[in-house]
Amino acid sequence: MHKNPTYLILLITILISTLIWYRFNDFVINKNFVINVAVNCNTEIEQCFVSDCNTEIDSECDQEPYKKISILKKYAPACLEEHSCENFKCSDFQSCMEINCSEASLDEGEICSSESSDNEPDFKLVKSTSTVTK
Amino acid sequence: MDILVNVKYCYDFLINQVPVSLILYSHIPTALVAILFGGYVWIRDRRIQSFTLFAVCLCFAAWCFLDLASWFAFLGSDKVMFSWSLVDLFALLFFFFSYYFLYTFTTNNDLPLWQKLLCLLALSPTIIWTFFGHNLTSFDANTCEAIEDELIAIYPYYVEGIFVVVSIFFSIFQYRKTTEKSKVLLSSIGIITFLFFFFSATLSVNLLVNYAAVESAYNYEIYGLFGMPILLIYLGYLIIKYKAFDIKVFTTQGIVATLITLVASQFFFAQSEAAIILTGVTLLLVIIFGRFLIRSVRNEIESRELIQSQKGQLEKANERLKVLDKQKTEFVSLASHQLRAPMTAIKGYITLILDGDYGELQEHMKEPLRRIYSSTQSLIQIVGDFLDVTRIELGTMKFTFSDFDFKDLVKDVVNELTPNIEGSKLEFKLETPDAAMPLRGDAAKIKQVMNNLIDNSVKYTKQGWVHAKVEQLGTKYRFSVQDTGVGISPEALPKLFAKFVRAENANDANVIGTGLGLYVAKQMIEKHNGRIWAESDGIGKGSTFFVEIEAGK
Repeated sequence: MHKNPTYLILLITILISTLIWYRFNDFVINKNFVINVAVNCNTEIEQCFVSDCNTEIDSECDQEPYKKISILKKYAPACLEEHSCENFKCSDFQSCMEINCSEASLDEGEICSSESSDNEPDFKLVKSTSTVTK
Repeated sequence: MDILVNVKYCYDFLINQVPVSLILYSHIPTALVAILFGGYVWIRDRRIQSFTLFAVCLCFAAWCFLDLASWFAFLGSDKVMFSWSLVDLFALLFFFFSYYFLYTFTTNNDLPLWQKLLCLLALSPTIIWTFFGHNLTSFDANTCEAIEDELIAIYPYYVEGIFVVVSIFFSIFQYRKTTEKSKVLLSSIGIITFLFFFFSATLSVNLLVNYAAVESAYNYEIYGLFGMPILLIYLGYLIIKYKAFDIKVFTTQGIVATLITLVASQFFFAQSEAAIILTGVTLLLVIIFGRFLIRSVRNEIESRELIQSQKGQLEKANERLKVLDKQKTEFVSLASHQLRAPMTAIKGYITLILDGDYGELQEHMKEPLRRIYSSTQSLIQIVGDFLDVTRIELGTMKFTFSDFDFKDLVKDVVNELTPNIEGSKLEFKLETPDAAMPLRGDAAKIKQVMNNLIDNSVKYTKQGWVHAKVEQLGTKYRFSVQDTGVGISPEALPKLFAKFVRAENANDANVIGTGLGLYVAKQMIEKHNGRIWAESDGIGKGSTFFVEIEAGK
């Protein structure tokens, strides 16, 4: 009977340990990833998203207008994940990207708010995204 | 739990989807049982199949904890991204090790190098994507989930599917080829069920999430975990039934470990302080009693194994002793035979000298010569006994059956012993019936027995009388010889007819003996389907010896 394949154990252990450490360093220590979050949107001045649902049929239907934010986690304020930021503006943060409603940016179950005065697609890069890795 | 909540929004989001306790209960006990099982097997048995099984359990447990962490977005998005990024890699690793285990367990050989390299090649894209973080694009703070790259995310499912298919084909091939069909069948069913459960559950979740956009599709992922207990049950059965991995007391340890894990998992549901304390006390008691139980079962098994091993050694020693005993018997037989011839010659020449055939003997020489004659006679008797014993033990004693009169035979014996009887100055009486007592047997052997019994009675009686009697009792002839001699103790009576046994008081009578005469007599009478025994009221109270033989035989 063969003994344990020591070289295989060693190889896999080194490989996995390196990989785990690299991912831990990247995500947990450096927080080098993008988070996507919906924040309040002012339909008076921005093209906003709203959920495509009917409040009369669906009790959970929330038709609050919102815009989408993509920001590097290391620059994101804590209130963003808690959905408690008031009047969040990408211009105040590094590596932040604001997505306003347009045909191209619409996902399933979303529509653009009709109150908007400007129908131009808005994918407004507030600051340079050169540091964003994903 | 509250102290772990870093993002309250995600905590609220999670508890609206699925009970937290259910996620904990489905992941943690399964992972712990897998680690305990795999670790225990590897500690006890350091062969390659144990290592591969340990690797399966370890990777599966790692997957469980990573998957659990990815559910718990309230810990923080960074932790979710970290754990989620590794989940696919560990899933692939335990698929690889499951196939590796199946191969080593059923063939008792290591996986060929080309197969290892092929597996590594299949795993390498996921390893590279995971290393560079390409498998996740971002974290969605609205749904508290990591966003996977769709194309990269689907790749592990293809590889997992290939491992399932390869395992099925390999099992069929191995089942046809092997003689240990049950072992291959059970291990294959266990592994394939485990992989298939996991594969189908995770693939379904992926398809629902990416293509059907089903809300809370990840809830179904927990059903994939049921495959591991099934695998462990199959492996446990293999260990008990076929002594796989060379493990002892597995049943007890398995039951205790399962009990501890199940009781410990009750902590997930214990809400009140009293329930937590009660669960803690129960867990403590189960651990303490479980430890005692395992120890006592192990001791019992070790004792049984020791006895088994000693039994084997004793059997070997016994066989060896039988061989030695036979060799000794053959040696004694040979030596006795060589001794008897010269002693017979000595006895013959002394008889001739005493009879005056070599001229008139001086008076002062007669007594020493008579003593030499008597001693030679005793020696011939002893050598004769030895020869009889060896013949009995070797099964070479010959019996020549003929018809004779039992009563006349006893009378002849008494006549031959008359000089001894007269010399002893004892009162001797022989009672015989008038009627003829026909008997079929070996007259010489029966005569030898009668001679031995009467001679013994005379030798061991210093004063008093010796009465011999021959009678017919129904269909049997009975010979008895009663004396007022040294008697026999009740303790000595049962073993009187054994080999080399003499009563403790036999030496008091100054009689030379080997303790073989009665043994030989018993063997000879039993060959005639007769019975021989002795009775005595105790030491100094005389004794009676009996022989019963079926009449007319």
